[in-house]
Amino acid sequence: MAPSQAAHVPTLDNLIKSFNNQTLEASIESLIFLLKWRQVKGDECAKATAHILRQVVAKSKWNDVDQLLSRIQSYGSRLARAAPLEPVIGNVVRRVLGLIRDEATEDRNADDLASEAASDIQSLTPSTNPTAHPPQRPAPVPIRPSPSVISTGLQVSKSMFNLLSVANPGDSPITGASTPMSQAQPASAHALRSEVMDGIEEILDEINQADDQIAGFSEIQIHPGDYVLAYQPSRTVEKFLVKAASKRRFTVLIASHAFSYGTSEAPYATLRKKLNAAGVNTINLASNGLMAYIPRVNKVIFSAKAVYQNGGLLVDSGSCIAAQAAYEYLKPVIVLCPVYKFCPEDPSDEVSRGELGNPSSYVSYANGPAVDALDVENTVTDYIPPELIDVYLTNLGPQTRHHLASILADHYKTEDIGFSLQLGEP
Amino acid sequence: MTVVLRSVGEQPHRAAKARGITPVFIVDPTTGRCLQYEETHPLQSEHYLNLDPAVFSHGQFEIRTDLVDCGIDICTPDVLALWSESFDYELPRKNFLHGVLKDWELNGKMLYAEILDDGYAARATNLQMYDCISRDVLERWTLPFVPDSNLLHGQTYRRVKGGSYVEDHVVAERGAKVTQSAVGRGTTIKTGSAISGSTIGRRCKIGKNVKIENSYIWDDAVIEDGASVVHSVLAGSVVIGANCHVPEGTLISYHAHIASGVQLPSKPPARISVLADNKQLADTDISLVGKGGKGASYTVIADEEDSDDEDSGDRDPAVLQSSLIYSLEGLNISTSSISTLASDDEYDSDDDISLAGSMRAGDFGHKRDRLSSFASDDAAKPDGFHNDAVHGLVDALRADDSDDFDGAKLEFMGLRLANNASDGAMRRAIAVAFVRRAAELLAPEHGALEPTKAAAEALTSKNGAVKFVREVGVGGEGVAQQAEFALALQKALTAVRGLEPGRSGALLAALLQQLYSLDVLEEEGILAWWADKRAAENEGLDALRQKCRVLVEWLENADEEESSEEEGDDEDE
Amino acid sequence: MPAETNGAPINGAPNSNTVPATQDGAKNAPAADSLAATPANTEKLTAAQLKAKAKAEKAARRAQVKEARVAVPAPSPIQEKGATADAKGGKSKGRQDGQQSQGKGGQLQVPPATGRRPSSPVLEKDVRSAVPDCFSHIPMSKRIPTSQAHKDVHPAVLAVGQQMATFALNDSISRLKATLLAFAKVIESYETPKGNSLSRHFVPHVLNPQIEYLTECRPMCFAMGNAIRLLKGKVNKFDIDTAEDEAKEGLLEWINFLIKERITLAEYAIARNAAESINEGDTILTYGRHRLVEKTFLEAKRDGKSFDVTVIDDPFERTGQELAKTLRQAGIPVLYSPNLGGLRPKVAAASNAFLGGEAIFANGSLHASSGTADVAMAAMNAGVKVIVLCETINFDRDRVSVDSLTYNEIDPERNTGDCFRLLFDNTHDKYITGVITEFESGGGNSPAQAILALLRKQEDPLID
Repeated sequence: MAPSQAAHVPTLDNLIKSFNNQTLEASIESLIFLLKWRQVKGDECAKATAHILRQVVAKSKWNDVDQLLSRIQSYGSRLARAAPLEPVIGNVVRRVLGLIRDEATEDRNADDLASEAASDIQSLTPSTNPTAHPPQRPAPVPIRPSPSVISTGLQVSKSMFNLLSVANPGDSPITGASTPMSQAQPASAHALRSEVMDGIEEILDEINQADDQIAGFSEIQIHPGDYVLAYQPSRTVEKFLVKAASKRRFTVLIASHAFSYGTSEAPYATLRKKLNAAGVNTINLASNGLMAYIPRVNKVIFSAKAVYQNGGLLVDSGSCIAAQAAYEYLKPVIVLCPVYKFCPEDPSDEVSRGELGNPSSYVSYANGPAVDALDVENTVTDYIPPELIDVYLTNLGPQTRHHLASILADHYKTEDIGFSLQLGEP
Repeated sequence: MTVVLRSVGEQPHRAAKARGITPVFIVDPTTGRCLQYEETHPLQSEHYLNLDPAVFSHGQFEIRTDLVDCGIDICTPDVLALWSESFDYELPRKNFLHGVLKDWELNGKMLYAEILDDGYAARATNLQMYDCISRDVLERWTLPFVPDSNLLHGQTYRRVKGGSYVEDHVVAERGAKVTQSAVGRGTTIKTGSAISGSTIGRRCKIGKNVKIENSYIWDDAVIEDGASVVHSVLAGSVVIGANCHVPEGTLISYHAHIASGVQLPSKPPARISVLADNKQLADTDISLVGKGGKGASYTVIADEEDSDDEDSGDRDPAVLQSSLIYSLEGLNISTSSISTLASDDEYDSDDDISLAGSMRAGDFGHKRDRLSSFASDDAAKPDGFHNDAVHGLVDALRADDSDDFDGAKLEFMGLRLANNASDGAMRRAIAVAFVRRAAELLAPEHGALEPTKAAAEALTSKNGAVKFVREVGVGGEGVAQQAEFALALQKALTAVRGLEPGRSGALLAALLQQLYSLDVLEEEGILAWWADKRAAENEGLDALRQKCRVLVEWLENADEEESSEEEGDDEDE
Repeated sequence: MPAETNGAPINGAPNSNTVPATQDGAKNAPAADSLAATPANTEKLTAAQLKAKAKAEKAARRAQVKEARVAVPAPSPIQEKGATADAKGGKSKGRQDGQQSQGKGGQLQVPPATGRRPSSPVLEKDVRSAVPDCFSHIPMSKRIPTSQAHKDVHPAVLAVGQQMATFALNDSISRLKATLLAFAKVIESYETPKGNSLSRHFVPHVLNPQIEYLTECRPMCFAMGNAIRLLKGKVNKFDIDTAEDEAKEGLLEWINFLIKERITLAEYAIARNAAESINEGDTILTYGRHRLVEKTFLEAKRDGKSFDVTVIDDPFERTGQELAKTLRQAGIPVLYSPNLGGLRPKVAAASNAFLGGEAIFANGSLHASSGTADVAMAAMNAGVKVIVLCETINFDRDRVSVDSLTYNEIDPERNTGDCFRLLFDNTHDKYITGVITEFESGGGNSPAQAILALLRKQEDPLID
């Protein structure tokens, strides 16, 4: 059913383009609609969220950091609620929140220096912002406890981030621009807006480049002569394997759920073509059970939809079988997961039970006796406990489970970790 | 126009079973063109269809009965034009699709069928379909239309253990078991209760040790401790007392209250409403709902033709929502459908329908009416024109919303031309239609009018009806034609079942008198009929005829007394 | 091994047997008599057999046209097994020798058969060339047109072979049963040539070609190997002087006994034993469709127990769907999972996992349809008892397998450039709580090793 639907589905690019021509509310609604219809999934959610939050920053009315934060929180939680099984949405929201806090801290530092100017600012404010609430706008932006611990964490993340992401030359000038002492506060809101938007741009860049960065580590992970089991290779895994194929000779065993009905096309034909062209053998396994093949395999690779703070993974269903089989045979399991998929939460019950898909992928609705009699549970996502995973290969390089906490601390503010707790309340 | 259909395979399928009417599409598989459309259903007396000979001119064609019609058509603007031109198209399938395909040479419009083999398509046209689709939704065949997608604003469903969907603020106590169900916000379920395969609305209160299976319980219902509900529909704010048993197929309408400990009957399953069919509060039937209960058994009598039309196309959904009666009617037909889920109940429902049919005057095999327009399954009157015409006229006479008879007249004339019907056939059809309408008005559910009033109502309630009878029905000035028409009326009355001979005689007299006073029939005509041997050729006819003796005698007398005055008038005409 | 088998016909040398038959290497001449006898057998075919044969032929033809597949001799587990057994110097030595010598001899004695084979080496490569190199050691069944079969092959065996090659006979027990019944026909129609005795002549000259043919159609299952070993042992036990009729009678009786004891009664006893181990309110998980598991559920239902079943299916086979429907019809609540997705939560919700086995190796590991190992492992990790149902005839006392690549078969249906599939996998005995067999002991708690020990004790008198 996918192909027929796909024809009518607006692509993500079209959707994002449409954001510019619509009111903010309309954009949000259309994205929520697509999320609920499950037409924007996985990595696309992250991109779409970043784009829409950029719109929120650009278009919505806000006068100070607090307002901006609460805007982002409320829009963000609407998005996150629309797709509770897409944790990346929450991650991007948290990243943006953290970003705003950082920029605000910098501003405040700047403002402290320009404390004298502050009194002027207050008198200026009402005239420029008729909707503003003057009492809530004291000169130093009211930031909740932002102790130095966090700002050091921020420093680390920044430096690491800059190290690996394609450097944004506009970055430092902008931060510089935000701190001119003589600038009045309204200008600072303006500056904040552009800084935050630049920051979101950076997050988008990170999302877009993550796959390539991960693929950059393929040489280290894949060795000549390896037998690599790739479970339902996603775009991330494809890039990784293709990159590896340019340097190494190995064999890829591709396993997947089931070959979709009706399509004469063999699964993963394009990937296989690419790999074969590079001289890498591929074998499509027509099997769900993977224990039989694991003795032959050197390592198992798949990508995660999300990584939880305990190191557990949300993955396409069946990956768990691969991970478990590899674990039993002591074969390394490598998970490809860009940092933006790291989620500072624990997996919910719903996650560990797995999302249910449409039974018609396996049982045709026209098969009357089966439809009448069977209670088909087609689970489409799995939860993999952390102990089955050996390597988390991120765009920042390979990590182990024990290091995840520091990655999370680098990327999210403690204030925002509880973001998901707000999800329950409408 | 392209009709969107979903194939459900040849093997038994719950969606196919729930359709009620089986649509038969005859399709050219090479082009997807739809060649003919028919409908069949298990209750019809003859299980065959007539294929249009034109079908055979196509290289190949398929006759498909394995399709679920979701009622979605993709139309060109032509379709709207066709639709508005043909005033007699009421139902998009039975009338429009069938008609356009039948007359395609006339219109030159081709219709296509898009048959889907994947995806999901269905339409909740009756309760059974409602049941089927609800199950599909719970089993996720309809993805992304599943509860936990929360597609509607304000929904907060989550999937929880046991394959259930639960909204926020649902309190299910420890020990309550909810499987394969959906439960709305604010509902509480006490310990020991087991709910499976059911849909529970918002703010319901479900007590301890309650058992609910495959049921639909709408918002704000209360089900007290120890009650059990099996495969039933409980509308909003229903209260089921402690330890009640609600057996399969039961329908309980809004605000009804079943007192504690009541075991509702299972054969036939109860249909309980607090309102009677006349939209008035019903007298509570204590024997049914128990002491302290509220509601009475609801029997459908009104406007059967609406409720029988499975195709909801002509039904205004607003009416369904606003009016309890309509929704109950909807439920009601579907009761019989829902009870067919249990095979042994099927007979009951059949009985129901035939009982109701024979009770109603003027019904003339109502259940067959549905198809009589084209499936010609009415063995007694194989004349297609007759059935179509009578049906159309009776419908027009019944119509509440319009006083205009011109449309019906046009339709009638169109039919006549199409069928090349004889004057006799027209006369017969018109007589039958009016008689049927008049007889119907005698029945208690239509107000139990006196024969005179019924006759007057039937003839005069619609503008132009009298003129129509005069011009078309009688069809001429001659005495012979008038006598023929009177004879036709008489014969039509003998065919009406469920009327005692005395009453039908009275009705005949009333009709004749009414026609006389409306100047449709003249005394010569009536007297000629009186003298006609055919009017007394058998017992039934004679019995009717005798009832008119008074009228005839009066006419004869009047003739003698007022002949001089009458003559002038006669000459004028 | 494959090279040998392939090489022999090309040489065309009638007596190029590299391995001299221990029984009687010089018995090639009398073999001609047995050949002469076989055409007569054809007439004795029953109508039903003919029908079955025709059916199988048709299926094979269709499959051939469709897949343009050509006959290739494949190495069989039996042959490999033979090698192992030989190295160990086990009891099965005679069998192995006989088989091998006869195998080649059989092909060589009939030059027309060799000539008729359209299997050019190039094409042969085509079939196997789709097999990835790393799995090239694993055998695959194939369809041999009946016209290309050795003419010694009894028609009944021919039919069975075709049915096995087309997977019309799929599970080990139905294959075993069909084989035994076919062998009974072979025995019935057997006439000892002059100057020979049944005990000397039957196995190498009559039985072995049949076995060879069956093995070529599809690698033999372990139950067949066991039965053939037992049958040969039985034949060898006859005194040279035993009258032919008496010996035939004895063999037929023994085959009947074997079918009754080890198949029919075993099936019943296992279903009983297993059904008794189901408790009220249990949730039993199973994988795919195995007749013993199905029978067990129905049996337990008949006992009036109420329990739930979770059927995990293999999306590439979808046999579990039928099981789910059958159980649902019997009134058992079934949760059907079309793939192994979400296995962990599903397994965790179960109280027991019942798995059907194709065979059990001497080291206690289970040979079963592909995917079983994953389910067993997941169940064991979730602390759910994993109970295997298996007839003792499927226990292999000689062979040991530690991974799924030692003894396996390639799915001929899914061996193209685009996909590859192994039919079986190997479940280590650490993932198995217990095995339920027709023996009374256990109730699902006795490990395979205990059963093997028992089996050794029981079977021995049969052989000696």
